[in-house]
Amino acid sequence: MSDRSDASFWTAIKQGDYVNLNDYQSFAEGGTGGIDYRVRDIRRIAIRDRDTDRVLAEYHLHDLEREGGAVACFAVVRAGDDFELRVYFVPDGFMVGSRDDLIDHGHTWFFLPPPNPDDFISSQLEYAPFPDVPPIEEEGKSTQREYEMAGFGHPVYGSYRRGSDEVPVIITEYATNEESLNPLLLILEERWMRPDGSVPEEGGFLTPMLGCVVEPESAEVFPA
Amino acid sequence: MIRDSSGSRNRRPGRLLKFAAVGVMVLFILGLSVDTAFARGGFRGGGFRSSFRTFGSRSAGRTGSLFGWGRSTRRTSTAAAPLRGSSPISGSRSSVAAQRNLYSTARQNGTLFSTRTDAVRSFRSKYSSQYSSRFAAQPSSRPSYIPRTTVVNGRTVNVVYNSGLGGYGYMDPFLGRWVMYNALTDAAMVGVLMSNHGYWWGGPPIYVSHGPGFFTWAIILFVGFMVISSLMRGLRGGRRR
Repeated sequence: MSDRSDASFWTAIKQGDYVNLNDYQSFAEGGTGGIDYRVRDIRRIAIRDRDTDRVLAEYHLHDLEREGGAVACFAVVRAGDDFELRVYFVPDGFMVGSRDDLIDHGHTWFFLPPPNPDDFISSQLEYAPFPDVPPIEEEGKSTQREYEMAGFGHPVYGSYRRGSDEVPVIITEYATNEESLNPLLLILEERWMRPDGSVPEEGGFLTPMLGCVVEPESAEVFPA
Repeated sequence: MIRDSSGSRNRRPGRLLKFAAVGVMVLFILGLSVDTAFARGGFRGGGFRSSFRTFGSRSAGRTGSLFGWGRSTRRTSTAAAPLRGSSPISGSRSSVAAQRNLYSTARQNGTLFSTRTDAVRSFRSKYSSQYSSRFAAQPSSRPSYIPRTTVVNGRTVNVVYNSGLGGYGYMDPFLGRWVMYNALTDAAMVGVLMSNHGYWWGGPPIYVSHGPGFFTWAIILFVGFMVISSLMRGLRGGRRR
């Protein structure tokens, strides 16, 4: 592998490789040695311009696992020559599932309200520019923060390959300017469209994650 | 009121069945509420799915919206929105399992304290010499307990070796002079070091059970028992007549 300040160093991570995270939060949990994870799965998502098909950005989402079943998502977000490393996780209190599943359980906070909240189709709901993110507890203190749509400033559409399938995804990014260990919020919606082009009414499969940026010095890669 | 020839109430199985059916429906709805209440704690890994997907149109009011809807504009008030009875979300990446291990270790090692202040005081008295930032010459590798950056009154500053200082320190942005870094007064680092040495303060980590576990099954079993016992009683009554 090449220079760690080069995006290709990070996008060359393979399934089965080991990643050591030694950022502040990994210190807090794993001690000064940080935490070692194994790369369980990788989704290489390309965001393309609809008109020109040019790749605007890439999200390389590495599912990390370690003993005890704890998981995290190590993201390499690349736009042109620029890239950013982030660590995301699904916190206790967030739910993953289809739009229907989430709405059934009251997790409506990332959508704009439909004209009739008693009768609507989940897949037609729009992501809210300002989601009503519930209070988040950090170091014993619960705070409700204001999140705002970030990244491209709107949901972006992309896809990744899974076997012979092309899995369509919607990525919606949010961030808060308020002090927080994990100021980033990413909502990944997978399979929002069927292979035949139709849209399932229950919506795609949503994974909302909190996260933060980590410096390249805060991660090590050990090829399998 | 239907009475038999002896004048007593006629407990017909059909009527009992109706009551039982109503009871089942009421308890079924209660069961859904219990599920939802537990779901507030959240789920990891996405294994949970609602089993009750037989309704036709969508309605967010089915179980109530826990956190409301998102907005198209910024919140006008800086005050936090009401919690609407929801449990706060854990913003920590660290797992409950890891915290439980630490708690158990602390109990075994006698490093369990009621408050953080007590834990820090004990830790400093025991380990102050082990985590010094003073080095006559720059070490070939940076000690793991000296971070590259630290936060001083909300500002991030670089921690570097300063030969004039005789150790690792940082330029204090407020005092305008070099200050020796002290791992034992750095709240973030001292927490890490205490964790490494099996220190714990406060109560045990709380694990919130999620998903449609015990209560739903208990209700289903209870309802089943009630229905069967009602039917049996009804049948026995019918046979007697």
